[in-house]
Amino acid sequence: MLSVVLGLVGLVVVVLAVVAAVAIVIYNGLVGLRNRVQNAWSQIDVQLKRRHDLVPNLVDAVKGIMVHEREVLDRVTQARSSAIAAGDDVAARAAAENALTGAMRSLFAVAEAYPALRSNENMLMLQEELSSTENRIAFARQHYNDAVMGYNTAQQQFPAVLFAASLGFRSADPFALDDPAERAVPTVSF
Amino acid sequence: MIDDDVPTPRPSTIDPRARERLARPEPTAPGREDEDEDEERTAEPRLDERLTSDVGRHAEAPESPPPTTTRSATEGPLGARLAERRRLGQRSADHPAPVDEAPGGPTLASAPAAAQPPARRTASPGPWQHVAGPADRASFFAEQARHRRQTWRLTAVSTLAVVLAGLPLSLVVTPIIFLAIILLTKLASLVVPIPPAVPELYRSVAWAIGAIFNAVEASDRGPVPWSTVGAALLGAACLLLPGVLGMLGLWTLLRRLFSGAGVGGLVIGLGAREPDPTDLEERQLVNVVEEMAIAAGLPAPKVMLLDGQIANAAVVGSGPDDAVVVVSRRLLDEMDRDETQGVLAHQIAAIGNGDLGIALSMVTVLRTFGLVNTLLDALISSSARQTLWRLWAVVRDTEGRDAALRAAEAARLLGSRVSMMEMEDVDIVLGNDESRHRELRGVGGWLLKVRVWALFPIWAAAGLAKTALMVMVFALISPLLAWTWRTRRFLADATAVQLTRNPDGIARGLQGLLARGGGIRGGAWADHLFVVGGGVTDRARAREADVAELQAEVERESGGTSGVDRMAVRLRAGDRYRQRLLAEDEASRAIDESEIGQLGWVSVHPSLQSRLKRLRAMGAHVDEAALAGPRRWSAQDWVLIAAMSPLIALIVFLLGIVVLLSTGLVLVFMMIPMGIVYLVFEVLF
Repeated sequence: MLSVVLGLVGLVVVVLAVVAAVAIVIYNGLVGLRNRVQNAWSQIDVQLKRRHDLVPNLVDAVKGIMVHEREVLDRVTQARSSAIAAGDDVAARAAAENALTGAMRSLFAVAEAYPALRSNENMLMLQEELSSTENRIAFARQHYNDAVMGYNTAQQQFPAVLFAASLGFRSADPFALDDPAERAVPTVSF
Repeated sequence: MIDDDVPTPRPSTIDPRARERLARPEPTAPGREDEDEDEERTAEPRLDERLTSDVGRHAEAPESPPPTTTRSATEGPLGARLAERRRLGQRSADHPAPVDEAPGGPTLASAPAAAQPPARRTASPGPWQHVAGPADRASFFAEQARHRRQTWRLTAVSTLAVVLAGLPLSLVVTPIIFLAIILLTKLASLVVPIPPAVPELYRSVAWAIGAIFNAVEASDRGPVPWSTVGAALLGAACLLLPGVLGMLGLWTLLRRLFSGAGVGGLVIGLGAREPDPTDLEERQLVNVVEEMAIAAGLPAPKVMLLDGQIANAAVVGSGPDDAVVVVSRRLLDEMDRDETQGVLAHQIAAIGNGDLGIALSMVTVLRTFGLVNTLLDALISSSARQTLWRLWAVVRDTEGRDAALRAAEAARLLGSRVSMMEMEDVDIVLGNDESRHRELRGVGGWLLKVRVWALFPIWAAAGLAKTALMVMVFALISPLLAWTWRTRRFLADATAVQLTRNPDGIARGLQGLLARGGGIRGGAWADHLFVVGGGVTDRARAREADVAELQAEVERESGGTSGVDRMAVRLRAGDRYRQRLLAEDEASRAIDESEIGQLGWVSVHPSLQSRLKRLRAMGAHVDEAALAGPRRWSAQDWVLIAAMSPLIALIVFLLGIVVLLSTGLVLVFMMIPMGIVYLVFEVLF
């Protein structure tokens, strides 16, 4: 009788130990993924900052040649300052960054008309740096979205789904289009 | 929590480019119009399809998970058009980056994006924007999972093969380990009292080993009882485990030694240089590498450049922290930004997937065998003793060299000993070596004879074990490691597609390498770390490139002259070329063996055709011509294979016999040292 009880107790202990081990592994995995998501998020900021730092160089480089395009240059400078000043308010910041993108793009479009700029070695370098920065922002976002997907999937899978929410893991949001009008664009018929 | 601070910048999916194209069908730069025209035409129906299917899919499954997320702009035929622009360095001027915060090109830029600030998303996270596109044909996530599974399977088989191949060798090592343990225990007993249980334990191990022979004897008389079989198995474990564990320990030790050593010296050994920040292409390369590192969430690796006529790229290092990406300048010259990005994404993906650690483990397996071989050879071979001595000097750093260079030297020393069998001392004693006959004279000669004959069972067994090992490495381990490594290349390709979201980039990059890639001189030791292998075409292709260069040189120098003058220029150029070849051969002789594929007849690289096929499954546009490749099995090949197959089967059978026989003989031989060890034990305790 005693041996049966001892055996049962032993079995329960083993099962509990296995469950605890699995739970620990899953929990640690989730924490790692969550930090990955957070890190990926902060990377986007780093890249936006990099762009802010590059803009004055761009303006300096083209100022001498594009003397007649004061307006465009001013817009870029202003967009940059407002992007820096936007602070932590997410919506305002996103708008300001978008404005900066637009302003820079129009600057480059105008610069196309200046052969001196098109063949200028420095200008080409700067252009490469800026397009690389745009790419970096894009890739940082992509990485963020991939990280979010991995994190969300890990939470929603069995058995993590049983306790992830109660341990304080919430699903993270990927970047998505927030303007319904934009999303509708592909429906335009040819 | 995360969901609180996730803001709403607006990545566009496929629409900016599509919208832009609709709004402004003609490109801004008139010079490029013609090139774009073709791309556009091919793009037209495809884009149509994509858009409609996107809408359909989106409506059906608004919550479907995202195999591809934010960047599809460079996918598909439009990517090619974009690439054209990028190569000209004009991209950001008239085209947005792959993902933009604001949609629209110059046409929309006139209406400032600030005028239409994005509405803050207030509702719960919306459904993923599902991007229909070629990349959805086979999700790269599914591809990655598939190749990961393959890696696991092959790793399991390889591990089994390595253990099997190591068994005879560990059998040789076991009595030496036992002897060491016994002697150490005796020494310890002089200092502190040893409880009587310890010698008892040793004795029971000895009896367990003896039980093997009881079982063998019993099998002659009839069916063996289970208890005898169990005892024999226990004995076998006692016999094998010390050697196996010892070699495993050695492997861990060596792995740590080599991983801690860094890679700087190896890169310098290739003749790599730092990128020139004032050169647009090289600056772009550094940018591309950093972009890919961001996409993979890794620290940006260091970038080094190789000058030369062969296009290729490699990643060396022991992990994400010290990885160095080595790219040949030719690759930059040949490829546009998208292609470079694809090829470099493959390298970054390899870092992120932990391929460097896997490569290190694989190479260390062979080095461990090399070290054990050297140690056993040292009993009877002066050259092995020299190797050990040099190894010791290298590890102890008596010459004051860079850690990486020392590791490379040590690796080379060990790698070269895997397939070596040397027994000079035996030759001297047997009188096979006339030139060293006089060493047999005097006391030294007498000592030599005693040593060689006393150690006979060990070196004979070691020789047999090494024969078995060599056969196994050649026939099994080397191909298995190569195949395992191939799955990593496929995995890195699939991950590269995830990082770039542009299967066309890497596909075109690989096609370019198919034509112009090859082994870098001096880089054969790290052949497995390159994006495409050197392979057998290596030399021929290098020569082709050389000839092209030579012709260009002659054209330049002769500058319109003809006749005798031109001939003189040609002769001079040919002479220079010959000098250069000699110098290069000399330089590359030092390290020119690939370590994983050292004894291999299976390439560590999958064929480019098969890689392109997988990329096509993930949505890349690949020419049928590129897929066909030069190697297609013809009817003659099959006939040849059919004719050869009995022969091959016979060879495999014989190799198996060799392995079995030598393992059995090792077992028999090792009983003599085991008996001596047991005698020592009985005398001491």
